[in-house]
Amino acid sequence: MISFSRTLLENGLKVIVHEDDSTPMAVVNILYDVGSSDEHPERTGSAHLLEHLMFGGSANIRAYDREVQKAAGENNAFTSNDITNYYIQLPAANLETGLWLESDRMQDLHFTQKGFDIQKNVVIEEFKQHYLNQPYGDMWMLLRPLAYKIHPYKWPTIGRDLAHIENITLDEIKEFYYEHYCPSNAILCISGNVKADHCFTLAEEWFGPIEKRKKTSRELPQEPRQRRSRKMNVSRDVPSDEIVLAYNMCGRKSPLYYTIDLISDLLAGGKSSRLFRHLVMEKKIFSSINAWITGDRDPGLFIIRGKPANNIGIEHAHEVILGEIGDFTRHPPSGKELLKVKNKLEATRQFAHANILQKAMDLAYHELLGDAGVINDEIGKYREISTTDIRETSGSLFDPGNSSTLYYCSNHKQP
Amino acid sequence: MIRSKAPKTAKEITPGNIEPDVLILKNSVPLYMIVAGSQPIVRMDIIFRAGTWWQHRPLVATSAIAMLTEGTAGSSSKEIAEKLDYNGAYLITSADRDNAFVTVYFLEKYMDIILPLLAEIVKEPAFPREEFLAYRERRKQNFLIEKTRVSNLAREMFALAIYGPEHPYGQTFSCSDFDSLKPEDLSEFYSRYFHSKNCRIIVSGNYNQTMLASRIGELFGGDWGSFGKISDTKKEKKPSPKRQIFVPRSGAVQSAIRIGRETFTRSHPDYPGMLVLNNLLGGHFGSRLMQNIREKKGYTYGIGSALVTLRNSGYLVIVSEVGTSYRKKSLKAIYRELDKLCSKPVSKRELELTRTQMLGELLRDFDGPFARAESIRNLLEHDLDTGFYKKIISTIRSIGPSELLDLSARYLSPGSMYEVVAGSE
Repeated sequence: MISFSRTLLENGLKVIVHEDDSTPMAVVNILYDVGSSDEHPERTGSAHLLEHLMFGGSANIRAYDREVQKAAGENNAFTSNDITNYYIQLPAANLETGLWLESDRMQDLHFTQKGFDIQKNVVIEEFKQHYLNQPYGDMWMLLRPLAYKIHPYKWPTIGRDLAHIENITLDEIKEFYYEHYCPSNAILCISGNVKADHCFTLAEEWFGPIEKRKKTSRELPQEPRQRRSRKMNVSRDVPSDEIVLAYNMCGRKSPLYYTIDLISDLLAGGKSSRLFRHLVMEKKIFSSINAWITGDRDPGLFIIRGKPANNIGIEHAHEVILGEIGDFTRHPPSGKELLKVKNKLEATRQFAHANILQKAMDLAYHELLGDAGVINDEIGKYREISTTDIRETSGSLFDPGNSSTLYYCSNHKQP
Repeated sequence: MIRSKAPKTAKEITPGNIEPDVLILKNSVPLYMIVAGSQPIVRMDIIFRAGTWWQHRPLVATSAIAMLTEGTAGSSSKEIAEKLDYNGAYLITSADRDNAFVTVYFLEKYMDIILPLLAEIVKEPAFPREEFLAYRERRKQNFLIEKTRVSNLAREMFALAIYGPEHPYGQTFSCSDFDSLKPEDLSEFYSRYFHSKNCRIIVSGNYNQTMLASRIGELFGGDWGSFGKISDTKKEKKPSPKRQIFVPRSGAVQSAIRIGRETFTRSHPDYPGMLVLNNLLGGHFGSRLMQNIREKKGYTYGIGSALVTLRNSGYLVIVSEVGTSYRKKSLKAIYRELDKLCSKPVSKRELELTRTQMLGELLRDFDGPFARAESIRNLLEHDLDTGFYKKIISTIRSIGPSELLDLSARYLSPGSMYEVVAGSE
């Protein structure tokens, strides 16, 4: 049970506090309800580039990172398709420094052409390092536009290609900032060795005076129902083939989300899972295989990704996966198998919530979805799912017309 | 509230309780216990002095520890996996250059299931042939993929350059080493290094200490293992005569850079001071390398340096991946930073900032049971006790610019460095 209190400032900022006195630290986490989905289709990568610029100083603070350092803290951020999340961990006694820093950059970020040009370069190098210069690094660049035709999930957070990042102008980024970085579009969550009343007072003091600003309403184009399976083949300089299957699934708030999450665990959560046991250990058709859900707010994807063993052709590997899925939909798990993945999930939550940063991020994310309190109800929701639910849901989830398949083939000569 | 002025910060930053409780089991295995945190969860680490340093041929140490979960005298690989998953436990095995580790995370309420299973895995592994062959094949395929990354090519070549191919810290391996690896190699290695005279145990989390200690005593407190002969022969270093090495990787859009040199083990008197110096150079986001090469020049997504200590050596290494067109400029900028540290004393302001940053990091290293367990494990790997952290804290607080200048002259001169670059020509 994660206890918390919350309040709403007049300018629309939501504030949540979770007290945990088992640590000398505190976390200041700010979630902005903006991600790469909110970008112009010709300026993909903007949300993430702006995240970099958020560390370049604000109206009253020249060097953000140095001030965190002075307060013995550590900070970082990440951008996804849905959100941009910033956090600072610091000694609880220095909590106010965190609020000072975050409120100042919410109020007025300091943009310079020079800082902008440098961070653009840094992001371009990040793009190269993670997506171009790694084996299978461009997998998502290929899969997203295959699985999505309309929805902005069709491009990755880093940007669709290098040219998009290169073409973003400082004015466009400024506009993006003023559109999305306003109090009513943010959730502040403080956790750790703090007192809620004190946090609320400080939050009001630092964030209260920030102008309300107009929040842009979001109307993302929704993906129409996919009716025919899609397939793509690429050949790359990698030592072995890889196959990726993506099935369209529901969004994060749908009640089916929990069922589908459990299906991914049944198939590939851990070394006792079906796909790992059957395909890696017994039949030795794959050297690795995984399944997971993207967990996006709007309808996301159920992914199966595997590397066939060296002597196995990719078509055969594909057939074998489809065979396993067919088998799964026809023979749902036993009660014991289902109980196993539920137990594991509950334990995983316990491990994750041993950490005040994870707790702060999860609370803020659930508040974004509608109610931070759901964090304490989720295990119950998973526990209620029956083997019948699993069977019924997997039947429609694994409809072949609902799938996109990527053959990512090695261009190396077979020995 | 005045926005232009930073709120006051606490001056005194000291980690709280860093001492674990130490119990000695009947077989003299030390058991370190840390009780902290809020969730009813437990992490248990068993540390064996069984890293790659001790192996007689490549791949043996990492494979031996990985195979512990693949079958025992009484349970199959599948049964072990089922039991762990059913009870929500995570078991991770790993080996680095000096040590091998079994780490398990579980809910306290399942300790009577997980602890006996852990004892079985650790004390009675069977190294079954079929599972071994599957493991070897998977690992080989993964190895081929890893070999395509410039960062791995550079890292491997750097170790080879400073230690030479005969030395365990410099040793590399190839595909044929997989093909000739046999399960007997693993069981032989196991019998020498996995027993009650060569291990330490750490338990951390929020649990009933008396109960857990007694269960661990019952399961791990007797003599177990076959006490095979440990052979720690002298190993010869043969550093590369070439100081600059290029590893070609066609088509790479970035080059991986490793610049560094051999230093010393953790018990060396210069270690605490060098830790501070390394922090200034490239130990964190505000460090000189990161601020200059990423934040001022934009040549890279990340650059940093690390002072790595092993049981029998240590090295300082600068690590980055930069766009191919920035390769020359980045190298030049890195050497300039080294030069600057050697020629100009660090300012009081920068030094104060580094002190605070490092103390903050130490606070995080001891925040929560699992972080504390890792910090203690880190000490045990080097046969040190918590007094070592006290020494580091006192050096962080007291070291001055002239001592740092002196350390720079001894350890950071550009001429003493090895430079490895992996990328396209």
